[in-house]
Amino acid sequence: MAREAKIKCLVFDLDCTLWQGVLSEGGGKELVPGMREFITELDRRGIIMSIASKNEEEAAMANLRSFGLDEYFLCPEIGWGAKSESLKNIISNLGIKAGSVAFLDDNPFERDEVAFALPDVRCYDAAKFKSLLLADELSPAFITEDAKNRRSMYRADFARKNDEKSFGGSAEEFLMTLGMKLEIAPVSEGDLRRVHELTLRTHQLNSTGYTYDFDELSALIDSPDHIFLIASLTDKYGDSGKVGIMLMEKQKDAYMLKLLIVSCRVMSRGVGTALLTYAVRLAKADGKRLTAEFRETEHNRIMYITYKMMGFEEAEENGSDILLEYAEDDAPEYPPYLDIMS
Amino acid sequence: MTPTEILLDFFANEKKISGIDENTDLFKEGHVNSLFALEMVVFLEKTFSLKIPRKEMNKANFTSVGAMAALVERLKK
Repeated sequence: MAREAKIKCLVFDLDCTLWQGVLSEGGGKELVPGMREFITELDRRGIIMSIASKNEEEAAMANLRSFGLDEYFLCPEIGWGAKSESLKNIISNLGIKAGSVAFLDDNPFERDEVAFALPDVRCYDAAKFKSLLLADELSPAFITEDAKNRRSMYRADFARKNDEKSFGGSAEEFLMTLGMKLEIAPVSEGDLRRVHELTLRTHQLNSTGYTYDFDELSALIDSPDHIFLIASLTDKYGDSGKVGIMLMEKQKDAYMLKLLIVSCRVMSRGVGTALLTYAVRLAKADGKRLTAEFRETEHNRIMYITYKMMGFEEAEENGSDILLEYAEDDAPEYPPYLDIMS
Repeated sequence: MTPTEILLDFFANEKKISGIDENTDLFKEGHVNSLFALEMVVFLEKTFSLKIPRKEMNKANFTSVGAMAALVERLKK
C-alpha cells in the first residue's frame, strides 16, 4: 500500500451519488442535497474532480451541463466498462498516483471492485459524502492561489499536450511555439505557502529534498546571507503559476545553491535550466563561484543530470551528499524558447 | 545495427531531429536539455541493457551521437 496523506483527485459516480435516481430510468432531475456545495468547496481546496459512471456518455454529460457542473470535472470516464478501468484511465490521464485518488460511489459492489483492483485508491460510501469535508486527507493544510487555479491549469495542460501530440516537429520546435514567459522574483511572504507546498509535493525535480518549516522560510526572505527566488511561468495556454524555487547561500567567495525545486507539472519546459542559468550569471556578475548541494535520492536523477548537462562538475562527495560546482568559463545561454523576466 | 546507427535512427525517427551526423555537437545545436539528456540516458540503458553510472553523466559523453556510441562501447565491456 502506498497511500499518500492527501487526496489530489476525487472521482464521482453519478447515479444515486451526484444526482438523485438513475438517469437512464428517468431519474437525475435533482442533485443530491448539498452536492453542489460539496463540489464547489473541493474545487476551492484545489482538489481535482473526475467521474467514473456507467451511463450513456452524451446523456450524462448533458445532464451535468444542465446543472452547470460539467466544468468542474476533468477526464470524465462515462461508459459501460469496469469502474477500476475508468479509475486507471483517470489516474494515467491526470498523471497522478493511485494513492492520491479517492472514489465516491453509492454502490458497495463498485467500491469493492475498485478497491480490489486498485488497493491504494480510497473508496467512500456516497451516503457519507458530507463528512468527507472534515476528513484530513481532503483538507489541505493551506489553500494557495495555485491550488485554487489547479483545475484550469490542468485544462491548459491537456490543451498543450494535445497540440504537442499532433505537432510535427521536434520537442524544442514545439516549445518555441508556446510563447513561454518565466518571471523570476524574490520570494515574498505571500509566496510562503506555495513554497512550502512545492517542497512537500516535489520529489523528482528536487535537488536536496531539504524541508523548512514556516518560520525558517520566513526568516530566509529577510536573511542578508541568502538569495531566495521564486519563478512563475505563463504561456499561450494560460498561467502555470509558481513553478520553481531556488535558494542560494552567500558565502565568502561563492554562492551555494541549497535548494532547487521545479514543479513536475512543467517538467521538460526548461525551467530548471533557466533558473540555473540565472544563478550562474548572478554569481559571475558578483565575482563569485557557484556551487550546489545535491542529495541523491531514489527519484531525483533528472535533477543531477540537469546540473551536469549545464556544466556543473562534482567537487566533493560524501555518500549521497554531493557538492557540485559550475566548471565552465562562460555563463550558459537561456533556453531560446523562454522569455526571462526578472 | 551499430550503436551509432541505432542512435542516428532514433534521432531521425523518434526525435524528429534531422540533419545531424555522428559528429554534430548537440549542445551547440541546442538539442540537449536536461529532459532530453534523461531520455537519452534511459534510451541507452534500455536499448543496450546497461547501467550508466553517475560519474559518466557528463556533457562530454552526450555531446554527440559518436560520443554516446563510444560510451556504450566502453560500458558494454
